[in-house]
Amino acid sequence: MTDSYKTYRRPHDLGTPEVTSDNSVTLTVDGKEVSVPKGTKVIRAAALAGINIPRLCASDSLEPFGSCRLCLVEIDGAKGLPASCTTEASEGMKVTTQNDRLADVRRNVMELYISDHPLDCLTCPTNGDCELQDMAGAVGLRDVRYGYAGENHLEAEKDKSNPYFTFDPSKCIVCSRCVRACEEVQGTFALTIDGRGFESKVAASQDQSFLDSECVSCGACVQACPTATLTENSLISKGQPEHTVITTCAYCGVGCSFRAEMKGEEVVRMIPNKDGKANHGHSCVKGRFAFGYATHKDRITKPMIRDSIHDPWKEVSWEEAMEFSAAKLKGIQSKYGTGSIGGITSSRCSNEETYLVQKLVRAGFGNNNVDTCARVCHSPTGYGLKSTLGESAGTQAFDSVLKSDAIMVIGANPTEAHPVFGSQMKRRLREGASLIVLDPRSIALVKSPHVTADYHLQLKPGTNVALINALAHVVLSEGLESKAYIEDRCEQDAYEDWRAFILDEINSPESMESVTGVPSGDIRAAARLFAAAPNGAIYYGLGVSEHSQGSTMVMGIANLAMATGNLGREGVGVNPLRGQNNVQGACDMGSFPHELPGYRHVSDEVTRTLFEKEWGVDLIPTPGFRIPNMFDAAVAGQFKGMYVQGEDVAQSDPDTHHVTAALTSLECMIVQDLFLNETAKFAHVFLPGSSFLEKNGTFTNAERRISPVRKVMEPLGGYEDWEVTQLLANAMGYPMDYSHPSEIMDEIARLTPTFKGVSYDKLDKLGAIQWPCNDKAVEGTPTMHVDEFVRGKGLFRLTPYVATDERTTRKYPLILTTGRILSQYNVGAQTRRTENMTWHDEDIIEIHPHDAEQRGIEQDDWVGIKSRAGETVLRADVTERVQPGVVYTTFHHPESGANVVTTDNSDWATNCPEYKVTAVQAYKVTQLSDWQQEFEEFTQEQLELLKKAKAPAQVI
Amino acid sequence: MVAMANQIAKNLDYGSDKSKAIAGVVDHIRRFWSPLMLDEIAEFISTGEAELSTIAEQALAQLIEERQAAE
Ligand code: SF4
Ligand code: SF4
Ligand code: SF4
Ligand code: FES
Repeated sequence: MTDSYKTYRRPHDLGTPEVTSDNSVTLTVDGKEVSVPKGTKVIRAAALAGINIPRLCASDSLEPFGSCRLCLVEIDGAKGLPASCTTEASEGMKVTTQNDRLADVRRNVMELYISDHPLDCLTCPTNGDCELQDMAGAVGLRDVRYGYAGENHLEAEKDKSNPYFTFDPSKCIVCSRCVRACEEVQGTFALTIDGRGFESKVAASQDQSFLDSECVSCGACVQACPTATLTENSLISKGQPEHTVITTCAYCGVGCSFRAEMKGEEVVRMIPNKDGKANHGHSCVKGRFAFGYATHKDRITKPMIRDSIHDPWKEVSWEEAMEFSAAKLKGIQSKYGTGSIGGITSSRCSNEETYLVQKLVRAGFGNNNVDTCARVCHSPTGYGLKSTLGESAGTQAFDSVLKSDAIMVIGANPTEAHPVFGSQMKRRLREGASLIVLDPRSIALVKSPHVTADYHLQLKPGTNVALINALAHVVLSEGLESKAYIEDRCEQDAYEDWRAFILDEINSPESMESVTGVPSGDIRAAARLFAAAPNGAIYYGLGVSEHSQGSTMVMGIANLAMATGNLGREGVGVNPLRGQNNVQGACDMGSFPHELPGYRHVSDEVTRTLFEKEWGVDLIPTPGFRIPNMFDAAVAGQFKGMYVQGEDVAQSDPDTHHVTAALTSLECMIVQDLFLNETAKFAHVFLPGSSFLEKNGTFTNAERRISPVRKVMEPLGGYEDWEVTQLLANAMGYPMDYSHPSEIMDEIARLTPTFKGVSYDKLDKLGAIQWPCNDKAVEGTPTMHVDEFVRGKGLFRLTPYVATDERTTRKYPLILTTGRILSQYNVGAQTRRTENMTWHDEDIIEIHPHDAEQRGIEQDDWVGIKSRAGETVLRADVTERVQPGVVYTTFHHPESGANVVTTDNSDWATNCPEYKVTAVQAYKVTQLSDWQQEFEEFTQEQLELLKKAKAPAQVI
Repeated sequence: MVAMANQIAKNLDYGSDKSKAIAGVVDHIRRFWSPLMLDEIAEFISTGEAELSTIAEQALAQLIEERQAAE
């Protein structure tokens, strides 16, 4: 049993947050001497000396407030009884935390609290884990002189509007920990203390229910509450946990660390881990609450096979499923050639699982036809950063943002897509960092409580490169570049070429104004602001990569960062915000057809030989098919079999019509997933997948942090995902014999220089590791490119703006752009099976009032959206969040068919699809599109075929 | 695929040095395209229907020659 498995106990709380200071002070607490950093509060100093001072309103995740008066102490030479949570420790201070006088005062305080508190401890959900109970015990409360019948709030009504937690005001002690958590930790400012004195109470927004308020359901207030006032519904129904396991969230690229609080094999609740270096004890609604999908009734837990996609499914044993699959795949290969099959890895699965799938394809299938869904979101980052800086990954740790002075956010929506990092960024912005947003849409960051963007460059979709070139033009033409840095760290010839290119008048903000639609004055001012900041950091998301010039834009971003000297230390850097949890890891693990693990090209002889020796096979030195090429080849009849692990290509890839044609032409589609997803409707073999709660492995987040995922329950289908791949490999005749994912990681470490020092032992010890981890960086690397770039000298690359072929016309006068929202996760197969549906039950189309009026469209009307690829129907939201001429939708629900409309345009370098720009027309309609009706019918047919698998066999 | 090749050429073509642009396209396609895709585009080019830009055309000619020499 590792350190990660523990008997349940509330984590120790030191009372006030950690302070960092070069100076320390020494004080005595109850006769014990202790040294602490200057600025530390007395309560924390005492805790560090092992002395716990009673407290109710203080917590080490919040700034002290000093309202409960329970933490009073005596300090030699000081008047009265100061509160230890607000009093700073000083040199030579002598503190007494326990004596008769203090005990009396504390007992009186507790007596007042308890007189207004229901005494139903035995049936209270937090019985056994309540700070109020603990304090009553600690101060020795035995009687309440005021009686229990006085004026109280015992009748106050519960607010159960939020699906995940309950607010029971009768138990509130008005300590304001929830209010501070919402402000300081989450940054949403949804809660206030209403009224004064006895009348005071906690209120959400303007005294609304939690659900109707600004609350984003992050749960920080629930975690902060010392009583049962704010309590998880899962805890109310299941009772107190008995053990905990540290694991990692499987939703987004922040990669929050969690304590899964368990009762046997059942998750009681997920509590963000205070020691988690990516999240520091915070999380969002998905990671904390939306884990119910893991045990949802739609989970398929038995292997199934069928000969045609119009046949009913048949449940079979694992052996039979494997024999069936191997026979089909081998048959296809002997008929159509070695290159006629391939595999898709998933950025939702672990590093070890991804590694194994690409190994199966390269060594077992004998070709390089392996790709990943990260293609459809982040391959341009890999290409752009590798060619300029030398490594395909973000340059910073998340904490770096706390040292940034100017933050540029491009095509990303951190508060929605990467909420925990969004909260951290907001904290820095409240502290005074400036903010520049480049986005066609008015994202939440542009204006939210206590945060306003200094500049919002609201460009036309598809003109990113024009804008970044214009920003660079201002930096160079006004002499704002970091000359010494460029000279010292970058290739001079390439710089001179780039300089001449950027200084060309066509790249000036004035010439680009008509292209980008952004006033040149704003571009100039934003560029000056960014260049002048001591630390300037750039964060970007899918709004950068999902364009026909995605790769060019990433290079443009790297150019700007190099030119302003903003790489290689804390507070700066170029940081992609990855979509899914393990996009980084999937890319690291060799999921692309041209790269072996560690981003090494298949033509690189030395690397190939290394793998050939370890794997005992000859490898092919030329790239295989990417996903779009696989589909093209399938339609052309040359590609016939696919093994898809944890990925929904039918839904997440663009141009659904083309994808459907490709999938129906396959002779063997093997899908491994939790649910019968859209792709599985085209499958011949279904292999039950395992959720992140059912397996061991690692995920790598957007800051290159490798974090452990730990099994808390047995896989429902009987096998962890990596075991299934192993079974398939063995059935195909390529032997694999791992007994634990740690052995797979050891193999990865043997073969990949950046992972050389990674092992499960070290992960257990350190909690998590940021790669590169090798002999030079034994504990990993938080900041990259410190003394020199990974490739040696930084390389400026030319980034000419090439307008996308996707243009508006008379027929298609609007630009459709796509995105995602907080409560749902990518294609939503998981979140759609949780209570998160409360917030987002359908995809809607946002349209500007001006465009809506022209078309006679009103709020909530059905709107047809038509492009040259197809059409679909969505409900309208008439809003000024979008510009005139632009419509916006999310793609979380398969039936909305957002990808029926998107086209096959893609990034020139990596074929990452151009989701962000599609020319469309919008018009009012009264019924669903033809595609949606067909989709309905096909879904119904497939569900019927699934039911037959479960029906008892007919007796003949 | 023709559109892809043209798009690559367009993005790597800057300034007056055409040979640099061609070399860029050759290198890019060599690194990222499966040889099977080259075969297919070669076939299409031989029908005379492929509308390629000059740079894409010259780059592909060089790659196809290489590929045929290797076989
Ligand atoms: S759940 Fe989060 S956003 Fe909602 S009130 Fe609590 S802290 Fe604020
Ligand atoms: S709800 Fe909980 S945290 Fe908030 S004031 Fe009441 S007792 Fe304190
Ligand atoms: S921010 Fe991301 S990693 Fe963290 S809890 Fe939310 S979904 Fe999970
Ligand atoms: S803990 Fe210090 S006043 Fe409440």
